[in-house]
Amino acid sequence: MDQKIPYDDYQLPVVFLPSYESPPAWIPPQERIQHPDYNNELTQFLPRTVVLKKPPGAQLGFNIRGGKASQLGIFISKVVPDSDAHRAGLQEGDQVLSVNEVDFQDIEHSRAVEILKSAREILMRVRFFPYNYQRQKERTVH
Amino acid sequence: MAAPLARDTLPDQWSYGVCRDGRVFFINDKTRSTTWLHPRTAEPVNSGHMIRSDLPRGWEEGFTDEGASYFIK
Repeated sequence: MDQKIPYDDYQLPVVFLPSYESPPAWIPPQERIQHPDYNNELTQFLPRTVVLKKPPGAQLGFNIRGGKASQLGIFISKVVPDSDAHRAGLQEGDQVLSVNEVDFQDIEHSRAVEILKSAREILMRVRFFPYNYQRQKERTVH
Repeated sequence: MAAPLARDTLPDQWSYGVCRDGRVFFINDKTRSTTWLHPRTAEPVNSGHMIRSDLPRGWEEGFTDEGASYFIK
């Protein structure tokens, strides 16, 4: 039969594919209330609308990361404390689904920036989704 | 984008859970198993599997408290 080759002796690079992630294992109902992956309120993760006015020359009040290159969408990476964005409920980890009716789910990062910077009023659909925000951070260096 | 979700409730013995990172999964208390796929539509709901949002269409068009539970209760 074949002998197993130690990784160090491989001629070609070894590629590790991400393993399939299973949902949390089944646990009886009485244990669910204290389990951190069973009892979260769904509403905090659902889409919501944020409206911001941006006077000429003003900063956005938040930073974004992501885009077509990392394939997970555009995320809010930082919100300036006490800014309009902060008061409107924008938070790190929010995925931007759309801005002024432009779909942001598959958009180039530079195009997303251009749209946000040139807008005077911003109507954003966002959803808080820490899972994909974390994945996006793992896919990029900056 | 996920196809419009037929407005079905979950079958008997099924419920759902929400992970701390926002992912939704479905619990089958009859077989004691869990799955990412909604038992009626066989599609994931807010699981992070699809590149585009896999929230049912109704959720993106004006969400209400009632709307959220409508697709999952």
